[in-house]
Amino acid sequence: MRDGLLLHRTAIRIIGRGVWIELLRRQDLYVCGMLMVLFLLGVAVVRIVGIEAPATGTFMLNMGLSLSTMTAHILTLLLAVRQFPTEIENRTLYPLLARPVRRADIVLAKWFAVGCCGVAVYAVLAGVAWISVPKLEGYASGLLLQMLLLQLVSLFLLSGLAIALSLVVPRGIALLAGGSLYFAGATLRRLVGRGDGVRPVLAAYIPDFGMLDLTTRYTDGVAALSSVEIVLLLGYGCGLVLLVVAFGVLVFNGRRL
Amino acid sequence: MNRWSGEARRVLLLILLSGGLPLLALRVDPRAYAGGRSRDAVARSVRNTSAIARLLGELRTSLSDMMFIKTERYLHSGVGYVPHHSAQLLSVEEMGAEVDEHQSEIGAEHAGMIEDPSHAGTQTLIPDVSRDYRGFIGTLHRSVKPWRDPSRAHLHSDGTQLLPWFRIMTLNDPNYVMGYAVGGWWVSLHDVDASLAFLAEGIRNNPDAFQIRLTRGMLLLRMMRRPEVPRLELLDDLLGDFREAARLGVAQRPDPIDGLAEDQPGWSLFQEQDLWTACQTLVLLEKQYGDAVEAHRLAQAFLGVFPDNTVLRNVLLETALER
Repeated sequence: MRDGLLLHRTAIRIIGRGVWIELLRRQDLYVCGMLMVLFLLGVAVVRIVGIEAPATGTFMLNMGLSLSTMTAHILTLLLAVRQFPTEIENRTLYPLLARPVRRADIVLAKWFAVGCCGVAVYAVLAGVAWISVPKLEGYASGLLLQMLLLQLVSLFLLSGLAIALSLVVPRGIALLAGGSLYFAGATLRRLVGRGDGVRPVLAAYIPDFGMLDLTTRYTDGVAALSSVEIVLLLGYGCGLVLLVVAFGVLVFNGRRL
Repeated sequence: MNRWSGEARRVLLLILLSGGLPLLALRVDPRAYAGGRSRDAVARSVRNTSAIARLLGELRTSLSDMMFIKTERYLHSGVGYVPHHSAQLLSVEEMGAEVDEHQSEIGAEHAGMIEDPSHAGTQTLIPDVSRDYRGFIGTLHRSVKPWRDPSRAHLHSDGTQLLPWFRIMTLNDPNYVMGYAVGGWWVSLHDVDASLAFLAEGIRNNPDAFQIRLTRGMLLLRMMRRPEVPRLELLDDLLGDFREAARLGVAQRPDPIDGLAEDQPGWSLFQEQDLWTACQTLVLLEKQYGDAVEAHRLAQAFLGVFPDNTVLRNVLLETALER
């Protein structure tokens, strides 16, 4: 029993390490880094020239944090949709399947590792953006923590969603669908959920990443969410994560390889 | 068999778990809050004309903000000018007057276009020859993109092309109050019922935004002036909108410092103008169509907010004499 658990942990750690190495080897990470360097250069120029109004500082903070959020999500999406299709194409998945590892563990390990990569990238980028921009107006510090917490859930949600999609449709389509849901999920949800009755209920199943993004609320200087609201939002995010990951596991379990 | 029952159990568990999601999603929306810097129309206007915004082009904080700027470009027949919506035009009444004036001039010179000399001199985003250091590239840029000499009068379109932008910007951000308030006027030029539905949606999404209520009230007031429209049918809605607009506005208005409420955080000159309009029109409507006692009471109450308003003072005197 103990040996089995150890084996699972080792397998998950190895898969996670593989994902991390892939992230470092790909150029995406460096493109993100360059984007952030450009932002930092912009901040440096603005600081040298002088910030004309406190609102400009808020504008830059919003832009930096939004850029970090978007970049981390795009990177997570790119990394997630590559996991299974590439491994199947390169036939590197088969030696893994030959080991005494459950299929569910492979999906969970990849989802967790991709999510962690996204969170690591977000932590670095958001940290750099937050530190570099002067805070000239008031912001709720409690909301900053809530924003970071919900971003964590959002990144794990996108990781699970992209992996699940890549198991159902080809990589390109999964990328397109995942990207569309990330960028336009909120608009799509509003479009589908217009009117009364069952439509808003059905539309609630469309992942709305805007619900988990408090960046603009934070830079707007609005108060932090109440504990009930944050619990509801965490429940919504975690519920969606559970749903997409479970869906991914079910699909991968039933798939013939 | 065992495998199937295991799978079925998991699927059932998934369905049960997912059943609770809409309950959570429909109960909370962190984007639904009143106020906020990004939604402050004056701050938005300042931001859009700031050096950093010009440097970044159309990369702004909000997609709806970008679309709002697009409407200005579409109004100018595709020519990109430095945003020049004045703070005055952010007021509901001024915007309505501007749209009316604009519409009355349509078709005079170009098909479906008018020349507006009042904005001549506003710089174009693509600079003119005297300001362009790029030489041939600049000439090419001006030739292939919609461009007009900034010293000439602006060529305004009839506004039809603007309408989808208002729909998209409010779908993208249902709390974009300015999109509803300004869009309401433009849509009303083409379809009044669609405009009322659009504003009703705006009120549903932003129950605290008194300017959307005011826009709908003013639109209904215009409809009432038409001879073919039955007045009594509109009266209740009309009074309801003005009452709610005045109530919300008075509640949101900060306490004045040195007699001035505008320029305080979250409150601006155009909001002050809109509240003035809402209070004054409500009192006049109550006096004419509603209850004189109520008109007297409201005039008295609103004079506490706007002591310089002579219309309110006159109504107070007249209703006192009637009583």
